[in-house]
Amino acid sequence: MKGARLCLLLGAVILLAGSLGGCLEFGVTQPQALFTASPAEHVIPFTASFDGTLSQKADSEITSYVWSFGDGGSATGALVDHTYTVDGSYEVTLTVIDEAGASDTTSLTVDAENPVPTAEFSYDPKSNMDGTYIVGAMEWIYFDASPSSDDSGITAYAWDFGDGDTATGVEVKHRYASSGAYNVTLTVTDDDGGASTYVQMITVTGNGSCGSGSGGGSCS
Amino acid sequence: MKGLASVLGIILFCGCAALAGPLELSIGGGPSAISLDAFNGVIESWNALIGYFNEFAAAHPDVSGSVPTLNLLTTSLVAHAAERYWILDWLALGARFEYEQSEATTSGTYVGAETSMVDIALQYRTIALLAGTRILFLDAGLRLAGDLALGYYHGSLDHSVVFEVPSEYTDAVSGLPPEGSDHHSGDTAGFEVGLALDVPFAAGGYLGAAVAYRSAVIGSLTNTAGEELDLDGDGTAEDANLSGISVRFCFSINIDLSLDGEKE
Repeated sequence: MKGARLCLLLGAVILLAGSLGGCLEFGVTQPQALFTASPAEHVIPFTASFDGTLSQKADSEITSYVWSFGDGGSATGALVDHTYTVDGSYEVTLTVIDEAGASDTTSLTVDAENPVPTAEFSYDPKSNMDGTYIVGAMEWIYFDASPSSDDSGITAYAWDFGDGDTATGVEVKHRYASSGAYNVTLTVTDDDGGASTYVQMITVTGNGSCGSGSGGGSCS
Repeated sequence: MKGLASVLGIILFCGCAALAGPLELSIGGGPSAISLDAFNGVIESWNALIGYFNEFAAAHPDVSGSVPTLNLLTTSLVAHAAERYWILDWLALGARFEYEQSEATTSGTYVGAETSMVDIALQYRTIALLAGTRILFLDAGLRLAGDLALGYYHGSLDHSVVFEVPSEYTDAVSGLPPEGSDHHSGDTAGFEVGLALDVPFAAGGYLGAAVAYRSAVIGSLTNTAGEELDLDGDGTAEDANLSGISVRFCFSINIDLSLDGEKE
């Protein structure tokens, strides 16, 4: 019995020593991935800088930094740059791997913003008297939104002539029934839903009628 | 799992009561080193962020303040109460109840155009019920024994996190902790193995010390809604690795339950 107990004692000591020595690691055993992004939101195209040196590993070196930029691009290294050319919301992921092969992953979202289109129009005829563009009542005015621009193309042109009438299209014409100052508003929308507006005041002089000569109201 | 623990307890108590050997009662406590590596990984990550923003505040002309880092949840205090029936003069069966608690807290502010607060509190607790054997290897005044126990472990984590980034910081940083308060808990089975040394203190009494290694991992802690614990918000649930070493100091007293008053 004594021999058996000694064997049990030996077994317990070995088991305890093995447990303490080999099975237990206190503190952090995994690397911790962290990074910063600058900027994290910007109008395309732009280049963002990513810094993974915040990543932690208490007792061994991080040997690999693997980046995925969310747009199909990838890179390695603690400090990397990446250029976004297409608008969207991208999840950037950093995976760090230490020399023991343990890894950790973290991510954040980079917003590549769509540049809004630029709305602008010209019109004709116009005269410049005292620095003010003036046209006559009942005179056809031809509006042209061709000067508007966008990186990916404008898909909609919306006009508000300020007298209650509206229209759509790149080129439109309109005439005013009565004199006054009218704010003509052009709103352009691009294929990503971005929109911008351009407003120009037009001064209409005199009185007239639409077609048949009857006055009042607006005419398109 | 709770049912299993109850059944184990009932079997143990009934069996030992039937044997009616000497009963040994003990209470005590001591330091414990606990792994909790998943939690501590998150804490290390938060500390890195705190350090980063401390450096930012120190370097920025319009921002001041510093936040202390969190201690790791690697040490705790454990208290226990145990009873043990010596069914042979060298073999005892027993049960032990343990309570263990560990905390990590920090609080501070960064002051710039706005005041940004960092206030984190983690409190981890384990309640364990173990049933096992003690084998006496040496009884020559001093008693040297080995312990082996199977246990039911219930762990819980109360966590409250506020982490406000200084408004002057314009870049983005990953790994910011999700803010909020919650309580997560879970349970598991595990085992302990250890050695105990007792010194006679008075008639029937012993002062003792024991060192034990515990192996138990709670794979998933959930809140009342059934959501798994995800402290760092990375989409991966953290487990609670309870494996660790504990050193317990205890006072024991023997009560002779035998009819003739002799130790069997």
